[in-house]
Amino acid sequence: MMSGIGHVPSSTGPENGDVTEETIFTALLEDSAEDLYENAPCGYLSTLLDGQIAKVNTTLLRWLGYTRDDLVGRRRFADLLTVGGKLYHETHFAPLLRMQGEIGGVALELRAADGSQLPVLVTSTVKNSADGRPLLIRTTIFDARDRRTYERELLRARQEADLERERLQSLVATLQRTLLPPTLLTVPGLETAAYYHTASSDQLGGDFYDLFPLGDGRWGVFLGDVAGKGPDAAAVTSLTRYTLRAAAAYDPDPVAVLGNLNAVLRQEYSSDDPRYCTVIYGLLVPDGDGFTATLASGGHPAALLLRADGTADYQFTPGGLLVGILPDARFTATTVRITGGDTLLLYTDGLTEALTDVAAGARYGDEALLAFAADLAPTTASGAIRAVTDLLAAFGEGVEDDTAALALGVPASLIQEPT
Amino acid sequence: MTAAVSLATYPDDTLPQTLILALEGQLDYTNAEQLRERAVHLLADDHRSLILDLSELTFCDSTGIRILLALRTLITARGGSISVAGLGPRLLKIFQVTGLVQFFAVQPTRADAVALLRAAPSADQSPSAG
Amino acid sequence: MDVRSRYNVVVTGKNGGPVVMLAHGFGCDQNLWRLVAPALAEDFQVVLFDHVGSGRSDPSAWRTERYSTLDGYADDVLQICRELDLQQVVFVGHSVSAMIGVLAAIREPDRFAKLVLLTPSPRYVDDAGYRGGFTQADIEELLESLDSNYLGWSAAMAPVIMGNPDRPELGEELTNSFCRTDPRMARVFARTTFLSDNRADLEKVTVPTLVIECASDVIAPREVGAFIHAKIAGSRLVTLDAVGHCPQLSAPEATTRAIASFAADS
Repeated sequence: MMSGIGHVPSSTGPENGDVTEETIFTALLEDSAEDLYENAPCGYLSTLLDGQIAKVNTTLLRWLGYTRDDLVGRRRFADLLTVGGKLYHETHFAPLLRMQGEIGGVALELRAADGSQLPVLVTSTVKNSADGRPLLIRTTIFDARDRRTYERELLRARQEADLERERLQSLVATLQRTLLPPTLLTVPGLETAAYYHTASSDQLGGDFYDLFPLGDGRWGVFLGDVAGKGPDAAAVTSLTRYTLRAAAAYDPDPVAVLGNLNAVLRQEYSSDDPRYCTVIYGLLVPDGDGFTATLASGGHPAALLLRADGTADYQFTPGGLLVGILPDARFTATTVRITGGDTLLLYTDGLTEALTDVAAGARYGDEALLAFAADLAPTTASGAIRAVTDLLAAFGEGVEDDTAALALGVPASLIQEPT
Repeated sequence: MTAAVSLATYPDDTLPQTLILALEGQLDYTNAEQLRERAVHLLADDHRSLILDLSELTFCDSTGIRILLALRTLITARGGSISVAGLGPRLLKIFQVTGLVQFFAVQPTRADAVALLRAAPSADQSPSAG
Repeated sequence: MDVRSRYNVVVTGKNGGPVVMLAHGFGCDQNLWRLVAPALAEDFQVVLFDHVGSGRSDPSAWRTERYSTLDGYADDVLQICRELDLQQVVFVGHSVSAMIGVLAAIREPDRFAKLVLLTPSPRYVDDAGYRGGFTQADIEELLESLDSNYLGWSAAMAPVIMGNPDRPELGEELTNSFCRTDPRMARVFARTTFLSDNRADLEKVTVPTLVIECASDVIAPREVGAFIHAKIAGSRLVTLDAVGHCPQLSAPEATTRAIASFAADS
């Protein structure tokens, strides 16, 4: 190697004269282009356009363990490749080389005479005649064992990361399911339907709902949204869900249920890390031809009533506070009658906060939802959920947050034909 | 999905113990924690009042609300006060539905919030207890 | 997005002439036809396109499940034909697109006047009594090759100047468009290509068919060409004195002649 001589620092200092002298001296050592070709630190290969090997340097022969006679005039470049490499060569390398006149830095594996594999990086150019006709292909080949080891590591790391992500997503999906009832129970005289939209497959959302019997034909229903995301929020969701059911068994009055939940959240979480949720809780009592629903809300968007007569309205419960914020939070209730053909729709704000125009930052909003509900009415629980599902699908990427929707409908006793 | 929120301070010479912050953009779970850290960092020991100008905040999700409440807890724990100014219709709606209006002094504009503090100097210029 | 932009459809050549549709195979895009299309355009209306996942097709049209079978691609071909109202199509399919054409012609035989199968193979992997030329392990090796070249992709796509030294931006533009593929989609396409078995479909072809093979082609060896020729009743077989899998690049004149004379023949 020339570096031993060429790069000895001059002890008399970096004067130009010395540097030039050394350079000239080194150039004299490197006086043979032939030797440079044969023993270059890379492989050289020249082939005809069909890949037939015409010339090969000593370095490459040494790497592969072939003699010149084994290759020249007898083998094609592609013959030196592994089978996978041949496929890659035929489908990518050769066509690109033909079209571009050159191709560089392609990772391939050569097969040596003893069957071992040599990872290499290959660069080829087409040499043209004076009038532009392609004559032959010149190829340089670099030993890429180190680089390929490194790349394999990178690849493995990427594959592992992909796998981890899949595992996380399946874990998230499983956990999310535990926060929701697998199916809604059947309430006599009431049609029910629900939908949960997951905005992110690797982030636990904080929306929840449930519907459960309280005895005497009465039912409890709730739907809410825990502030935040991820495992911490999911823990709050879980606590909230069980607390609501336990509190309802103790005292089914909706205001009392929310008061209990508020107390539990205050107790469980310190003031350093307070946790809040918004929730709407309803007590359903059958009353002949329908139900009386008593709704209490803790900072949650108002439920929508889609009536049999084709109108729709929000059912406000003024003064309801975010649950978990104050020691003695007060909640208020409102009463709604639902009879034949009426549908009550509970939802989380993922729906109203969905971006309708991502570029402009425009969001769906309460007015649009009300108009949507009025268009829909009269409908059924499943009809309302289907429509909400379609609406969310139409928003696509615009739905940034998880969204839950639950509908309760009293089937119309008579099928009313439109006049 | 890459919401951005930015934070600007508006120091007021007449209110040395008041931190005035303006939030701009969209505050959600992707950036709320970062915003909290930056706000806490800006809050000096002798600050006794916090004014949040939210007029340029176009969106705030439930995580964002947690952060606003956390800032409130921080300032009230040292006997201070917090006010929010410039709530747009959407944010005002969120504040009303969740009952947050009861926890923040809501002012039409930042100037209103500042004027109110100036009129009640005790809220700002009272010498710190110890 | 309309069909033309989804598949980057380019229509050139003789207006009202017989329609010749050129379909590229795995590994590249419609640029593969650049030495053949201009000559064909003198007598035919030439329709070029990129399969979804290749070239300048719309990446958002990609559906892994759809493109995990050749039927998905055949469906696309028929969709282009329908949308552009192409009749009596002479479909020229290179490599895997030959089988895509076979599937399309079985489904809508009336749409196609003729099929040209350029270096085709109905099955690449060896099977009892059949030699496709490859083993399952070979195919896995190719997938690994794709992966490792994905890491070195930018280097492989180094800018070159396509005979336009005074307009380097053109060279760059062309380079970036050549055989541009999304690595993940390329992986799926590779699997679909090399693991499909369409041997049983060959007998169902009723459209006049020309098989063009190369004298030496590692991907589609001569015995595979003979197999297809034997299975498709009344088919013709032409063997080009060319090496490699892409005669439209290595022997463009001979390839053009073979396609044109078969397409014009009535």
